[in-house]
Amino acid sequence: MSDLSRLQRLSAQLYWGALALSVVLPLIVLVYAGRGVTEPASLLSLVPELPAGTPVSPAQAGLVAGVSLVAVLPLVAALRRMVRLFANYRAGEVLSAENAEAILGIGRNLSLAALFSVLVPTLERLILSWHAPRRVLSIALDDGTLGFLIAAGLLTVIGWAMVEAARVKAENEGFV
Amino acid sequence: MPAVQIVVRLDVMLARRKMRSRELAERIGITEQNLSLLKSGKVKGIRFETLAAICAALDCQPGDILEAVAEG
Repeated sequence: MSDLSRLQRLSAQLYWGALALSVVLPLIVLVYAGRGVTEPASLLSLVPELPAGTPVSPAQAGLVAGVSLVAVLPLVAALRRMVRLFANYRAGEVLSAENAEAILGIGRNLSLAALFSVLVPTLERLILSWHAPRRVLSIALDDGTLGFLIAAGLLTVIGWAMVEAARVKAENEGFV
Repeated sequence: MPAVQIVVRLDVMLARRKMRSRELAERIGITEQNLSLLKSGKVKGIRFETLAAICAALDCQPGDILEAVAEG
């Protein structure tokens, strides 16, 4: 099997996966955020360091929900671009300026998502511990997040390289 | 320095050698469409490989096909 047909076959599967995730992921976060707003006490599970009876006001719950919703935006944006990219790959269109821009956009959005995966828990902890006897401010950086950051950075670099490759290809097409 | 542009004189050489565009395209291994674009100067450039094949097919020098003329 040629590389192109392999690329097309895998892209066809990834297209449906990315499309499904781009719809399901925001819905899951919406449900999660809605549950947090209607049952603010349930949010305390996010900060195990806090005592069980720590009060959580509707404003705090709303802020946590807002932060969660904003944090998911780059991931959804990356997934939407992946849908377009896989659709093009599935159709056999591989090296184009549009695809290169899509890869670059995916890399940038995933980098932002990786950054949010560090910042969001920190913000959630701070917001939820605001009325607690002792406020919590902690930044956690595990190997999974680091790997995510590196992969997103790599994808961004590949995106730049693909933009350059697409430009060279377009230039070459002007030569006979 | 006066600006010059490169003009393709392929039509002239084809007429001198009494060769059709289709035959030349077949001999040098490019499409008739690309040869037509080359003849009309609607390309960014020509590869040395293509130029060498044209020169071999038409038994001429690159200067017989390409000419630098002053712009304006």
